[in-house]
Amino acid sequence: MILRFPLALALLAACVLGAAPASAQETYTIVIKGNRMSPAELEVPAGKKIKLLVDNQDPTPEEFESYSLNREKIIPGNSKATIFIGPLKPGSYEFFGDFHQATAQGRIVAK
Amino acid sequence: MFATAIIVFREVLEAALIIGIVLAACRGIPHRGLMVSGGITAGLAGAVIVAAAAGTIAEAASGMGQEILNACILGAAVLMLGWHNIWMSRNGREIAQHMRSVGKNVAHGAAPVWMLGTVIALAVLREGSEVVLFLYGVAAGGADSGQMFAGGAAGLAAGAMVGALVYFGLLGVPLRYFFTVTSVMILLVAAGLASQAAGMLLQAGLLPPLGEPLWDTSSLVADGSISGRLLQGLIGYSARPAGIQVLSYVVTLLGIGGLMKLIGRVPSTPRSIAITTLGVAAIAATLAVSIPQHVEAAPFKVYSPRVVKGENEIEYRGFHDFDKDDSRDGGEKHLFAVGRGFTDYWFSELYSVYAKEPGASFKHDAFEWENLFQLTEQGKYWADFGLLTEYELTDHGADEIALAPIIEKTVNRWVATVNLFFEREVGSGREDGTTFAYAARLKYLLHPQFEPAIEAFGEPGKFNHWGTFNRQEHWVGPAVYGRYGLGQGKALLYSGALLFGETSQSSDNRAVVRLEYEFY
Repeated sequence: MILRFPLALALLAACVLGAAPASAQETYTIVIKGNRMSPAELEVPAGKKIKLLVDNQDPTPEEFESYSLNREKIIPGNSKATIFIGPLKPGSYEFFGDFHQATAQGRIVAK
Repeated sequence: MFATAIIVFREVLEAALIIGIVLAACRGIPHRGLMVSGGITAGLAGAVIVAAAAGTIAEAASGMGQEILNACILGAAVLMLGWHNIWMSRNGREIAQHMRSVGKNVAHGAAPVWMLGTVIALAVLREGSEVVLFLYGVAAGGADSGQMFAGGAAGLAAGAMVGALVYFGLLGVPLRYFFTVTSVMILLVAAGLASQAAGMLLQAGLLPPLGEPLWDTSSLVADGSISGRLLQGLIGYSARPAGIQVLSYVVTLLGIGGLMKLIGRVPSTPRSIAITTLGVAAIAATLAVSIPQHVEAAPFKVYSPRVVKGENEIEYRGFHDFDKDDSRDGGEKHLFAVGRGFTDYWFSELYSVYAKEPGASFKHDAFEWENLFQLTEQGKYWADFGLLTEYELTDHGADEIALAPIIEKTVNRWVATVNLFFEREVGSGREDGTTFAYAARLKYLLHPQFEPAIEAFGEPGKFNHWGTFNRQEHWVGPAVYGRYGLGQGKALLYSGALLFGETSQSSDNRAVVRLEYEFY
């Protein structure tokens, strides 16, 4: 019982912290429409933290996922989501929509 | 339908692994059945609520609601698992002693069973909400709801089977080591979840990456592969972890491990912990290597999860293909084998394989080493479980390794058997990717010398690269089995099947013959 509380407090702190506004970064937008990603290739600067805005204009939810970026996030239909990535090494990073893998594919190129 | 099944399977897998491990770890604690079903129900209800509120959650906390909710769910699960382990370090030995001497559960009033229920609810909640959203998307996209339902059910069943395999596999561990093994596994699961929680907070921009990625092992085991998912569930594997994830993994491991040692009445010896950790790592590594690729032909034998000690076997089986098209007509494969049941749960068999491609001549194709493990006693649980491992040393091209869980259910005179093959190429010249294949049979025990059956075999192809149904191989058809006793423990077994190709990729007809001579 006693053990739980300090850890629980730490967790609570993390949850409260989450309510604080995220700081401003350079924002790049990816649009999901018709179960496709656009742009299919997005160029971003290497070595910088980047704010990715994923705008799902489809009525159905999609999971934005990337193994090479180590990110996954569900985006409900007709809504936007923010994902922080980087700083990235120069290179190509594939991403896809987990719920429509056949069509929703794209990549981020860090230069 | 297959695409739906695969996505659902991937999501269900982690929850199934956690349920299997936690359920085994709470062996001997009363009311665990109630807690498990309660946990699953509560988790499912929560999953539907989270899915329905996905929009609201996503907008909360400046658009980072989803990450924070996930991190909180994961964090809570880590606490519960850690607490369980610490509690067990005090009481585990006592429970094991009691189970050995009395042979049944202890009535331990203070046992935190609710904790187990909560962990299961959290695991189901996290994975379940994604499944609900995915299926909603499929349904809203205008897909056939019957296909969607079948795919979802198949994915769920496959996931549940993996969980059951983990559970029954763990029950096979001797009681002396049992709680040490489950404790170490729970410790690794908890550390893995802590690393995922850190990943979520990193994604939300709330934690610094401390190096991202710290290393990259995706060429060894990719995150998206089934083996990657299994390893993630079992030991918290990530192909490209950020520094902060590795840090939280290590801190959780040392934190819970340290408290177990500090508080535990009888601390586990470092030696037993080291041995168990090595064991878990070895099993995980075996899984990673063996679950992964190719196979030229779908299986044409259905294995039963049954082994008899001291039984010797000489076996032949082969098939011949018929087709209107010359490119598929006249293909053959012939296997000759000798095998022996070394213990009452392990049967080992060596094969020599001859093959003939359509239009080509006969040639020796491969040697194969097969091991069949009977995991549960026949009739002890609601179904019988087994595991088949294969190593194929091919004469040309890369070698092949396969792992196939076996499940068999008997109801009165009906016996249903399913083998799920996961195949991967190894060595030089290998192709990447895990190939999935299956063998299934429904048999009616009419008379020992004549048992009619329906069989199905197929190979949908590589995970994530399954072509349309017509490009896959599937056969279905009637079969018959029989056994003639020759006295003094000798017997002759026969079976044959006439299969019909279901797709344009499969031959129109495949005639199969199998013969076995058994002696002791």
